[in-house]
Amino acid sequence: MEQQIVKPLSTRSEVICLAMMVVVVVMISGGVIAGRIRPNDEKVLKPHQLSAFRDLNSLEQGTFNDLYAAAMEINELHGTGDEEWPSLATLEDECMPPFVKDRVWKKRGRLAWEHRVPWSGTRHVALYLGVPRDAGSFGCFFLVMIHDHAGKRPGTETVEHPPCEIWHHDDVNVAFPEIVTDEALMVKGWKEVVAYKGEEEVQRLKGDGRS
Amino acid sequence: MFVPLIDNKCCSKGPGVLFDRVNLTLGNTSILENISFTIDPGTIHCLIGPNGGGKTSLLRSLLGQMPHTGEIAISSPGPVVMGYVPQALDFDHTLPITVDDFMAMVCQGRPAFTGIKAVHRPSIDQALSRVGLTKKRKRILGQLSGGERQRLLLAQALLPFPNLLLMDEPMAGLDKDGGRMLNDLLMELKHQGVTIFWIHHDLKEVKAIADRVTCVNKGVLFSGQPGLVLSSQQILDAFSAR
Repeated sequence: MEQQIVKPLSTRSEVICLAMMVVVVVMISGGVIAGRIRPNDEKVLKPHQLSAFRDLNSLEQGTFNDLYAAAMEINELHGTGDEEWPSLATLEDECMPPFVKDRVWKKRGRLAWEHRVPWSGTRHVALYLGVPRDAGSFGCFFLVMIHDHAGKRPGTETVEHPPCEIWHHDDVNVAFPEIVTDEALMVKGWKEVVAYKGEEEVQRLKGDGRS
Repeated sequence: MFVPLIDNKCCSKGPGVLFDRVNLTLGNTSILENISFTIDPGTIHCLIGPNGGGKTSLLRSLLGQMPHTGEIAISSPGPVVMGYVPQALDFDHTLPITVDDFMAMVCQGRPAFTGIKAVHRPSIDQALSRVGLTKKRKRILGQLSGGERQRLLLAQALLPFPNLLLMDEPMAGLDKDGGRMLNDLLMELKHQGVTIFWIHHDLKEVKAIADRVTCVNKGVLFSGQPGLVLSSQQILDAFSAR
């Protein structure tokens, strides 16, 4: 004789099943999200570097941003045609900030630009120095354009480096650097400006930065 | 421990059932209180009582569809096969399902539109024949009358052949012929040893056909042989208790 007890209706197993499914979904979602989070690529500044966001005032940040955008344009102009570096007159004619003398240029300390193209072996290098004429909390900007013409010359196929470097100096009486190496610039008191990265960019976009 | 009244000489009898201090509360409403009685194997046991007295809830507790407390034990010499005839068949009347499709859905796992599996066809034929629906097997459910739908519910309860048949007012909607067919079928099932637990309202018929009767109105009001317990006064007490 078999005897079986009728089990009362219970939602316990359903609740457990549902809870387990929720846990699984949350774990999978969490795993996917965790897998997609990119590590914070904030640059650790070296002693000779400045953070564009943290260490420059708002007017200098504007100049830096314009100079960074102009550097891309200069690099493009140089990479096409007869591989000449654009002169200051050309840049001004092109209305390219911070070279064009407009109201913003005046507001940012009337930077007087000087342009030199030194001989540097296989590299094409151009230098642009901007010194403020107005007194105030403005520093000097020094744009170093480097173009290797990768692929056009033997042994340059794999050359990778940023097309430009932007340096900053607090002293407005600084002389045009004669030797353009990191060490030489550091010795003369120049600091390389590093663009916004990682948390600094987030902080900037949230409007929680210093002016 | 519940020991059902089983005739050892006849092991083909269906299972016996014990309701032992069964309670059922839904929300804050107490539906059943301290229900205790037994259903003997191979008998027709009728459940009567006023509307809202908890008869259907008790039946559904036996099916394991209610969160009851207490113990409901089924004792059987073999595996228990339950057949259940619900009170009504609710469906969309435009549903394009024929009687055959419905029976196929009851029996087989594969979709009904693929047809009835050959292995199930004889038993479906037999069940439909027993309830007098053979000629209407190609009809859409929505075209069946109330009585025919009731017969169909009875037919599906016979697949697979049960040894414990639970019926919730199967007479509702049946005409005279239908009622006679059902009575004949129940007597036949009883002779085959099937235990039948039946909610019924027609006390005259209960007296005629049932081996035992239990009257439920939240609790058990009385339980015993119909000839002994269905006195006029008891019936009056039961149906005026609410």
